[in-house]
Amino acid sequence: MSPILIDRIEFENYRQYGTGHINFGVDGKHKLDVLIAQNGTGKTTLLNAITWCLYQKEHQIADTKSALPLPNKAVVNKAKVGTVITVSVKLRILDGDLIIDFTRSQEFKVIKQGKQQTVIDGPARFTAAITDKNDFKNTVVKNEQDADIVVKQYFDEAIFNFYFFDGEKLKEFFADERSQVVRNSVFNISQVTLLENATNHLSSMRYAHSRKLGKNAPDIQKLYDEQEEERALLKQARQSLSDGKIAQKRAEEELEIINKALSGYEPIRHYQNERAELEATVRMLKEELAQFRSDRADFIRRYTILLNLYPRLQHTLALIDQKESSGELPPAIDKDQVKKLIDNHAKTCPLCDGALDAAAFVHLQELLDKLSVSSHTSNYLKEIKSTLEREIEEAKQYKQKKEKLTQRERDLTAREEKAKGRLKEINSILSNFDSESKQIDVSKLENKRTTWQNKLKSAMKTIGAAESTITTAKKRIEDLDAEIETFTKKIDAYNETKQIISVLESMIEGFDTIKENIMSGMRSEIESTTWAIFDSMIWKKNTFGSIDINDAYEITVYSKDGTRMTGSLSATEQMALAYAYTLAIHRASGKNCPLVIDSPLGRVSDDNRENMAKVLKEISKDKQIIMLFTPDEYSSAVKHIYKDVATVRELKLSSDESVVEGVDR
Amino acid sequence: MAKTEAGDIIYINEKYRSFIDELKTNDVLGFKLLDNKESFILAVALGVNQPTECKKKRFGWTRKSYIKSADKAMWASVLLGTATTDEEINQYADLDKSIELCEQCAETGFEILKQQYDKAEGDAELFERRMMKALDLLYTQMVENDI
Amino acid sequence: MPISEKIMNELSKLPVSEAEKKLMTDILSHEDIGTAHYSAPYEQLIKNYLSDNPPKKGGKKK
Repeated sequence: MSPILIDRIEFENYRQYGTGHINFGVDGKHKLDVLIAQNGTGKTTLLNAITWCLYQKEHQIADTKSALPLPNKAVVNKAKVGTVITVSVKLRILDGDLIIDFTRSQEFKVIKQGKQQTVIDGPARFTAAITDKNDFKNTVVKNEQDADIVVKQYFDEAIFNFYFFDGEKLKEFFADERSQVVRNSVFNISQVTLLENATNHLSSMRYAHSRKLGKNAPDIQKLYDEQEEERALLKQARQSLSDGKIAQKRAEEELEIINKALSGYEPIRHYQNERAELEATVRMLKEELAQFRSDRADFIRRYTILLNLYPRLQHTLALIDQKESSGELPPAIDKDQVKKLIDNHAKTCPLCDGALDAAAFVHLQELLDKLSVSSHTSNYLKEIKSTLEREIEEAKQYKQKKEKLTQRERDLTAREEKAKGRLKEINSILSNFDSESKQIDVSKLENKRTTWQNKLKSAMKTIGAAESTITTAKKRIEDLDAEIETFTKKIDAYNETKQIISVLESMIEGFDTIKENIMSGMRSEIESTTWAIFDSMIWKKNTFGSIDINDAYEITVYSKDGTRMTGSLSATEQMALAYAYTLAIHRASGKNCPLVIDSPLGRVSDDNRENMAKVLKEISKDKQIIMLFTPDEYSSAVKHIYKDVATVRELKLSSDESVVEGVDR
Repeated sequence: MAKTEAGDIIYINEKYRSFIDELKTNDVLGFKLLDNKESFILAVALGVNQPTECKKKRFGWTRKSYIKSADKAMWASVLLGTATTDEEINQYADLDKSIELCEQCAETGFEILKQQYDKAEGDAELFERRMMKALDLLYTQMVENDI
Repeated sequence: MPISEKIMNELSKLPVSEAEKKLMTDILSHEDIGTAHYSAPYEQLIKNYLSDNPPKKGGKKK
């Protein structure tokens, strides 16, 4: 992926940067910029300038109410009261052949406040000007909300800290409530949201066209309406299934941790072991009971049929037996053949070629009267006889078979009750267990366990219901398709509308397929990339085993022996994980966006600094990284790594501290 | 009398489709994996003594070609089991005619099944236990008293 | 903004004609621009596609 680059940032009267610009090194082999400044000079302000430009927020300011106003103080002080000062920040982005200038500007009116001069906020403006390098004359300028949409495609504000990274604020990175935000934003920047919007839009069009089709054919309209309802149900059920699976995984993980903790505690180990065995027994019995219910259902159906039809089966067999014992089955002579001879007044006998006179016909008639069944009937009856006998015999075995079933149920139920009873006892013992150990509160863990087990049960129920709804809805949609096809085939007048609907449906299916493929691949791609980068950054090669990112985009780090250790990472390891995750998200999103990092190595311990610096240097071959160091962070070792590859710039405050020096003016 | 068409299809009343779908969705009485031929013969058995002509919209449910030799005896006996004269035996030894009668029996049978399910208020376990209990009485009436 | 490589790759793998793939790309580009609040451009794109690629007789493709 060719990188998206921040080419330049321009300031006008913006805080201590005043009016000036910084060009970034976008042409070299490494897209690496290093800005060195003491704390308080303007490192974080540079990050704020970028976020103010893109989002109209200075994300790194703790308390915006008490912060200084945006316009450069010296400019404010020099201006006459009543003057309007324009503050602006322009960020130029390069994306292949496109040049995008994001410009935010705001007016401030100078007023007197006591002895000081200050400003009041005026109107603000935001634009995104998009120019193709090959066609400079035609620049498209988007304003306000449309410009915001362009920003969202590159630097979704919801996950701004995955682009504009503050190394000092790692705690926020992995907060639980962030994961859903991350998930939605990953989908947004990878344009999965775009696909969803296209699909929704095309679905609305399909519905509108179907209404057209159904306008003079209410029956078709009913079918289309029903189909839309089923599609909505299907969508809901799919979401429910996904949520259920996430909840299931989470519950299983939590239970695993709890069980491990409990089984590690010696005084209750035998209870734990017994409980594990009993739970396995209960699971097995559950399956056996399910099989029993299935067998019982088969039995009920079979005997409902056999016993209700018993009189008919018996009667049929009886008349077959009667015909057989009277020698009428099979008939020696084909009754139909004889009847044909008589009806057709045949001249000769087909067997012996003899002439058929009146006497012969009388004889034939007598024969016919004796024959009660035709050959066809005879064959029919003989074909079914043995099956009838078996079915009647089977019907008579009802009592024995039922008894076996009853006995089986009694046995299974008794075993289940016994196992569940003992489980209940153990759960009660453990819930009230008075731990001697201060490290492990058994009863608390037990209660947690019960909570998570209930959550797991609920998740399984949700999954079951969702799967069932999905199956039914899919089948119904298919059936309705077939019915609609039957109807619409007859209506030539609606050909064009039908064709449009067909194209719409094909595209919707196509977009859905693309979306599913991207989504399913994305999570595992992010997971494996995060692991690869994390592993390359960390010096401990025998500690970490793997990283897991679930469907909710929550990260878990595991040791080599499978223990969860996300909560026990050092600051350096957290930093490495944050970088790894960030870079993985960038890669998976399909857009190679730049990274601006304030204090990139600030929390990294000395022995890891070089390693991490080298990894970031390597990454900058394919991705723009802009780093804001303090002089302390930019140690000689780090300087040595970056000296030949990065554009280095020092920033410092002017002697009167009114403006940042080191910026081009 | 509604005639079974010369074709292969065996019909049921369209109004029972959603009920049967519900049984399938909730996997009542093993309906989830039950093919249509099997559910049909169940309904035939339940309604065998009260055939009713289906006067409403019909829906293709299963096919004659799906009836195997092992099934034939049962399907055939629905009609043959009413024959009293030789003429009737010859006339009733006809699977197509038997299927016509089966369709009418199923019309009643599905209604009976639905009523029983509604009485159980959708409780599948209760519904199955009641059906099981009904079999005891049926066995006594049909088989024990006959032996 | 340019449609991502990922989407274009997946699109190229779909079992539909090149003309339909082009139509889908055009639809996505329009969606991206934000003309989604009215359907006229989409209708025109689809009608153009149909007139250049009349469907073969023989019922719905599934």
